[in-house]
Amino acid sequence: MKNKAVDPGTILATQLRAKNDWRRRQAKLPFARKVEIVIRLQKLAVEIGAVMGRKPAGMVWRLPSGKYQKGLLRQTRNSKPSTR
Amino acid sequence: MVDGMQKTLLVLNDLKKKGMIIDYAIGGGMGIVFYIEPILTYDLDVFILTGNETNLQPLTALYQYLKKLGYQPKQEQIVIEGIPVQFLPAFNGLLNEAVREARRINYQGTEARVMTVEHLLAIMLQTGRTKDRERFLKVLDEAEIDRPKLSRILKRFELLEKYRKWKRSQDEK
Repeated sequence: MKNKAVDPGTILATQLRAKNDWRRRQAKLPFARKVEIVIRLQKLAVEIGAVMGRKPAGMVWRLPSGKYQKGLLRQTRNSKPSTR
Repeated sequence: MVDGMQKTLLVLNDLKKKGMIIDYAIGGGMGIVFYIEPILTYDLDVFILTGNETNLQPLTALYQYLKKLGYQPKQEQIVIEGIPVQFLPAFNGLLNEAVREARRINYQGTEARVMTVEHLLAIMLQTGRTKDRERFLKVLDEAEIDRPKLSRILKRFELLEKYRKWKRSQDEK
């Protein structure tokens, strides 16, 4: 039996189109649902930041004391001021 | 269930009712999220009309009032019901028009005002940061846009040339 040739370009184009369609469907979600997703994204960014040892830029963190602190990019737990 | 965002919107509506501000409109990342797929954004940008946009410290009275309600300012933001809110006076013609012509929306039964997508696009062009350019192209791709309205706004605020330049970079992709 002859194998059918698979065009990777066609597959990629189909996948990208499907992704775009999905994005457009997401754009039509109710605003409240989108806000919920944004808040989840923020939480994820915090978790990723914790794993990477840095805080996402612009993020306002709620400290255990109840105070709020704005995060800084590339501020790591182990970072030391440059001696140069 | 009343969520943090809804409580924040109630506070904003109350500011207007009490005459602390003439009007407001949600812009920035959260404003954009109204029209496209959810993207990561950390605060709620609220553009306001105070009636005295030339005042160098238009936010002082507003912050004092919110502090009395128990909301704490942190750098350029004030945290209302867990949502970091950044108040920005509508200091130029485009922002002023964007607030005045914002659309009324219903968020879980609470009224709110969000800038139109055409005004948001024009503001991104005017601000012109890398972040704005990325978001601009995304909005053009995903949102339903009233093109004649967008053209009128861009022409009025002399942004047509920049629009063509940014649009070209999208077409080249």
